[in-house]
Amino acid sequence: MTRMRRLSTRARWAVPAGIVAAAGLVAAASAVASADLAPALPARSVAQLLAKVALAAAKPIGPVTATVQESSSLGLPALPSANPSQGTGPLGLAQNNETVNVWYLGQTHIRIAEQTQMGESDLRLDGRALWLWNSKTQTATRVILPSHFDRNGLGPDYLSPGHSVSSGAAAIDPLALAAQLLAALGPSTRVSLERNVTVAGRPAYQLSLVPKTSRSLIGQVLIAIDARRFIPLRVEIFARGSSSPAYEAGFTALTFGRPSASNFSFTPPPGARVKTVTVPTKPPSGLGLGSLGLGSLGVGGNGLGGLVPGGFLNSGGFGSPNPDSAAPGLRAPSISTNKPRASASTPGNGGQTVVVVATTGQVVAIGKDQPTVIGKDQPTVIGKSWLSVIATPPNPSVAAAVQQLLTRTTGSVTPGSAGSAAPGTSNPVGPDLAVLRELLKATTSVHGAWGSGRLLRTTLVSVLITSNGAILAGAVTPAVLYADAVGPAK
Amino acid sequence: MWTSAASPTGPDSGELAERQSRGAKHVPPWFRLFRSELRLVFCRPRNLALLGVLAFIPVALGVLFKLSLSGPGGGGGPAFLNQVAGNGVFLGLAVLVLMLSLFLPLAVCVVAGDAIAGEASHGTLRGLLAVPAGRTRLLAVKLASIVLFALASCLLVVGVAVLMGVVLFPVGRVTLLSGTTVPLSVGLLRVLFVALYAAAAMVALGSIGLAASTLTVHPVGAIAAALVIVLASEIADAVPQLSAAHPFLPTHFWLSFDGLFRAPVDWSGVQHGLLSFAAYLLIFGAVAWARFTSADVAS
Repeated sequence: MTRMRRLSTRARWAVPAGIVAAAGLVAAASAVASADLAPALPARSVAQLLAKVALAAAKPIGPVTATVQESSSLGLPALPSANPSQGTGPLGLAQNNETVNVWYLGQTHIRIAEQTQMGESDLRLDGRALWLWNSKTQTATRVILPSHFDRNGLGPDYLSPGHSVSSGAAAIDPLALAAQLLAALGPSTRVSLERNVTVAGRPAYQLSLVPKTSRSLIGQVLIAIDARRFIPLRVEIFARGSSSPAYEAGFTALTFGRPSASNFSFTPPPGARVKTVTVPTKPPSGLGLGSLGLGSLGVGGNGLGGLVPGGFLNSGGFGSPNPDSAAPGLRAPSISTNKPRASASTPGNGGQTVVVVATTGQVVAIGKDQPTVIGKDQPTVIGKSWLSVIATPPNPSVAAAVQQLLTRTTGSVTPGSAGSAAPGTSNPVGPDLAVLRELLKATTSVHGAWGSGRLLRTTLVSVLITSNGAILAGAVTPAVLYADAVGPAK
Repeated sequence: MWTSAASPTGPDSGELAERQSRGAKHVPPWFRLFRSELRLVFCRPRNLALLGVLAFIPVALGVLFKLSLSGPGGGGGPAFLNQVAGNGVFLGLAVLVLMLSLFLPLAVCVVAGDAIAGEASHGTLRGLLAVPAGRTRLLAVKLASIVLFALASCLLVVGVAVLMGVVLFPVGRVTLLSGTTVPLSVGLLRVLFVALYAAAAMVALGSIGLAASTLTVHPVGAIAAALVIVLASEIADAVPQLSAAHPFLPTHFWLSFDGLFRAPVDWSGVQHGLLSFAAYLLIFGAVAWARFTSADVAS
């Protein structure tokens, strides 16, 4: 007691204060350690690095276990969502954050898991057996693949965009995204090396791509390249004049080596509901399986389905000037805001996925089960490189549907007006309609010498819906869309 | 209220007399203190009533679920509830998730908030300080009893719930969140880990309650303060605009045990949670120590 008494009161209070300070320091230090430390790496020129990347890209990545994170804050308005954890930013703008775990043994053995609190959605491919699992609904879905998937594989090609069943997942695959971006390198881009970074605990070079044109909404793209294996680890896209990325996809963990075989095999657990779904040999044109196969079945309707800018990039927004590089109809959706995600607080929302595909030529709302198509036309790409714009020809049914969504506050689009011109059209229902309307509400009315229409501006993407039902979208300033609207969209 | 140093001849209560008379010669005083403290926590009618309520709620919920569940759940209700009908083991988890939001923290706050302030308000604190163990040891004994109470209440809740689940529902191989199954024994072991994790969370909360308890002589004030911290933290945790602060909230990791029910087991959530609990225990333990060893005790 007397010994203790010698410590003054002030000295005693210094102990908890010291512990708080120490805890703060440790938290800060670990945050710094996990963030971008700049490792010292042998100097390389841009050309050397690109050559290494090309070499590495030619080889399959090999078995990996990885965690992929994708986040975006596009300046879209917060969309109605059944999920409170969806999160809106300080300005009430939607912010997406997706994390999926990937176990990849090869083209025929893949597991992709999206973890939510107290829940999980899984895709397991074991040879030709494809199983989807949703823990919220305790539903196991067996997907019967058409025979041609044998040939294409689901693939490494999970790792290359616009392919196969996993095209949706490819949307957030940094490898695929970087490949698209690097393929687009040309005279329109200024390429340089930025300071080295650490991504997923791995030292990496950083390539900076800056469009030379000022009419692109993209200010800079940073691609982190693994210093040992020369594979892209992370892609960050910055809007012009912004210092924080508007979109980012990258590995947060990456381990090379064979994942356990138990990850791929699946037997429906006792008590689970088991469904069987057959993927049609010819999927509905323009509808990415990423959204059909996964989204509508509710396996990570978000995580594995189409994702906003990734999908956009993959579908050739500016990344790939050649829209025919992948089979049409298997493209990832372009502008998609899919949500109600599975969460502990929103039970039973598996399958409630909303995908609005504007630039592949369709406005598609995928509701509980079946996709709803409002108008379908083959999209065309106008312009090239950073100024690529995806456009669909004028379509009265699109115009009518837009008009109706804007004017009516309740009810749904009547098939008569929206669907007469487009066969196979049915009603978008429920929350999907609300999302569409909310998106349309965020548009502003614009007009000019080119005509008139509604413009949706986000930090990275502009979308123009003209009064005659043509849709144009690209990572460009609206002026580019107006100019393009005069021409081919006629 | 607070005056100068504790006097060894404080007003004796019957309890104190009992505490001192029972001490054998070779048993160190702090251990005698610990024993009497345990008796105080676990034999006190109010605390027994608390434990009784904690044991009753899983029984009531089990019966309720049994009456309302038919067939596999549609994913509604609290986490894991959709699996209860298929496997009674999940009743333990479903009930724990439900009770972590109010009943368990409430019980722990009552015991922790009462630890020092209760003695002060009863006038028994001065007598306790007469035990030749020192204030630091007295505080450690109080904390240890809170740890045991937290452990007992979590194990009680999960244990009773699992028992009810076994009685009311079929039992078998346990389906993990990942869709794969593990044998019942492995599943039960994981449920036990979850209960221990929840107990760790409650210990961290208990240290907050203990710190609050050293700041006042009114136990109700300390209990209320700890509960307000829980509620404020839960509310802040639900506000997405505060997402940057979420990992630092005391309640943020309470439910982060779901990684134990994945295949392969994902330890990251549990690790973060345990780190957070340890930090809270250290910080508020130190606050309690700084306050309790420097304050003057009059009653």
